[in-house]
Amino acid sequence: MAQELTPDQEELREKTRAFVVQELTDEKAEAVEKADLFPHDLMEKLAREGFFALNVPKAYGGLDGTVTEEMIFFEEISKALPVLAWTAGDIILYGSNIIKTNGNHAQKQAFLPRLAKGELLFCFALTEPDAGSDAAGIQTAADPVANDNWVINGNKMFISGASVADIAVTNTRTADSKYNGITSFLVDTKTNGYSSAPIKKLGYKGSDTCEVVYDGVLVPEDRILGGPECLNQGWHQMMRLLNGERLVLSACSLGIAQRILESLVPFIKEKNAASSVAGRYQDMEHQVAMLAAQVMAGRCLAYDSAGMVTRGEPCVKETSMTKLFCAETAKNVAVKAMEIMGNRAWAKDSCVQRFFRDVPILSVGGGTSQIQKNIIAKTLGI
Amino acid sequence: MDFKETSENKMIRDAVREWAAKECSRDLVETWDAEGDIPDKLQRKFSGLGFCGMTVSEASGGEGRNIEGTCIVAGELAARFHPLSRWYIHQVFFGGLLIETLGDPAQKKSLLPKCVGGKYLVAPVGLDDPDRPPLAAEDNGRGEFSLTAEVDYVVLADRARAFLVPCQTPDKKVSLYLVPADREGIIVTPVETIGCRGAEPCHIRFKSSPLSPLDILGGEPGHGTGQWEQVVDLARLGAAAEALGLAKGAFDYTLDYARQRVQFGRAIGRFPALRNWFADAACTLDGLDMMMAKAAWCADRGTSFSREAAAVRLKAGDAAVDCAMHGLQYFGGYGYTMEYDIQRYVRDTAGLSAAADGRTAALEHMGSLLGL
Repeated sequence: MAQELTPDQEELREKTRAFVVQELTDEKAEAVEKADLFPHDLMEKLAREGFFALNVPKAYGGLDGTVTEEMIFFEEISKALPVLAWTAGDIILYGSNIIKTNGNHAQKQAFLPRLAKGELLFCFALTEPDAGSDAAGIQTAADPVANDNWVINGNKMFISGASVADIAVTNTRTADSKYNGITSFLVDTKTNGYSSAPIKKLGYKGSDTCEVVYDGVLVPEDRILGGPECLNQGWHQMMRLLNGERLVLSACSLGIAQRILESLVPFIKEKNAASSVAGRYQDMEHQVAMLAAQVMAGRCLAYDSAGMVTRGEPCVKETSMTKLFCAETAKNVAVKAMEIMGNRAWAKDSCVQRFFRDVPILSVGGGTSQIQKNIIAKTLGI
Repeated sequence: MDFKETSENKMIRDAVREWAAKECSRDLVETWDAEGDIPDKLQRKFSGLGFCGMTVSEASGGEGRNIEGTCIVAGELAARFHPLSRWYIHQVFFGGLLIETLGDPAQKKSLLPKCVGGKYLVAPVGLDDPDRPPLAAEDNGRGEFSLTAEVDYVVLADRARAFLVPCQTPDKKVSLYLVPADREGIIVTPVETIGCRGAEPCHIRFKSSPLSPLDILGGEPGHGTGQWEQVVDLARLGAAAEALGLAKGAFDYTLDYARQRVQFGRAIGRFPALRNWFADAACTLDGLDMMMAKAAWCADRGTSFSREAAAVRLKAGDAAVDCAMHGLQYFGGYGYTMEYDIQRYVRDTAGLSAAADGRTAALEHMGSLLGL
């Protein structure tokens, strides 16, 4: 049984939809894509509308929303401009969620009020050139130096928002133990030795996804996420965030899939109207019907799992299933849309091709579909 | 039954593969893709190899008809640089092969030498919309016909020397006109697409463009419907060759990566889930090689290859998309960067459903051949 939304959550959906209609036209989406630059202007507008407060605790100036609120926001934004959901994630997911879940009191006081206002940008630096799916295989090293400082050396890869962020949540190797030797640092990106270079990508243009170099970056001990007592706790801190991250990424998949479905419907209606043979395109209709059913199933799974997260129930299996199912469904919807719409979708002036190029990263980022299957199999006792 | 590739075709495959690896390096293809170009110099170099004469008999100045070899060339080119493959198909199938098969002596004499030299690209008009009736030609009042029409998605129209246009004249006769691209009143506008850049579809506008009786393929009016069916069969065969080449290109490129990329202490291709996908895809590609060879074998012998071409066009198109999308997934984050070619295979294969007369039309054709 899918979780029903509260009136406040319905209101948030309406508010986000209104923002989309007002600010995220197809022309604007095309302009962001063409520029391939971080959409600072739209981020400022989101901040002015108060969207960045949605998951920050009330004590720090936020609205105290749950993962369901986050999903509503990400789903609606992704229907128009998926990359804006991604960049908003630099604040909502990799800023506020990380700090409110794992930060100590001083860090919460320092960062959360500013994150709620959209005044600070974070990025999450985990992946490395040789540590992708094997995320705990990271080699970027943090070593203690004089005056309670640490020095970081290494390379990170595919770090979204890395050249515009104020703070890079940097996961480092601080001990040999694979899972008990990782420490997260809140690195000020203006520190000497931190540099980043954006990577050209197939989609999600404007996400400012970068390769990052840490060349002797000095970080004070109190910038260990959660404080000095959280040395070597980085992996476990990350685990606390995964359920929420999987669901939010699933919401992005659902938003994209829904928007593509909405493009398919008028296309087939137009084909039917132009055909002299009634029911000529039944095969296409059936394919779209199946896709619509899959998207609906994904939405039920996603919002049901969100309820489990909010209630504090164990739900690793459910969130992994959601991530897997929604990402693969969205990809399938996009591939089928390209097949059904042919040249109409392949042409650069079609929004469908943009969503088609955006969607494949959702079955990679936040844990690939293969990794989700590993997790699900394990939770099934295999 | 002999499943072995002939020594001639093996030689052709090796020669094209070697040429493409040398002349279409990954870096150059990346540049051409970004610019949306098939450089003239590349076209000239390729034309000099003689492969454009492979659908024309030696008597007409060609290399002797070898459609199987032609499909091999198209596949090898597609694996490396898809737009050049599409350009080649338009030269040899809609140019050389059709003109030699259906043209009148004057057309053969004047056009085949250009076809053999890779200098006569022909673009069929209206392929993408099988529902479209032949374009209506009008009597211009001087006893001649002219054409006023707009047609979308004519592949390579911007590089064509002539258009193959099915027209119905006021006397209800349907003829296939081979209209020179520089004919008065023709305006071509390329449509920018995300893949196969440089060999993109175009919008064509004919504005009172005169049609000469000399344009009629074969010279005799009224044979257009049957001729167009041959165009469609050839288009499907060409689309199949392109798709199979793309599928193999994406597969080989990903396999190479899966052998090298190490995660959790071993090459990712050695994880059973991935290994079994590669195994399954290899089986599919082996089967498609057979289907492709059979379709081309039929065409080489002058027997009907309509069913075979539709079948391999459908299955090769699906396989190409599957190989590209799985490849993208297995490359992980790297596949999503423009630095790796798998994203180009994804963009190129995304347009395959529209290739030739489209996937739906090929399915309908297969259905009708099954009596449904």
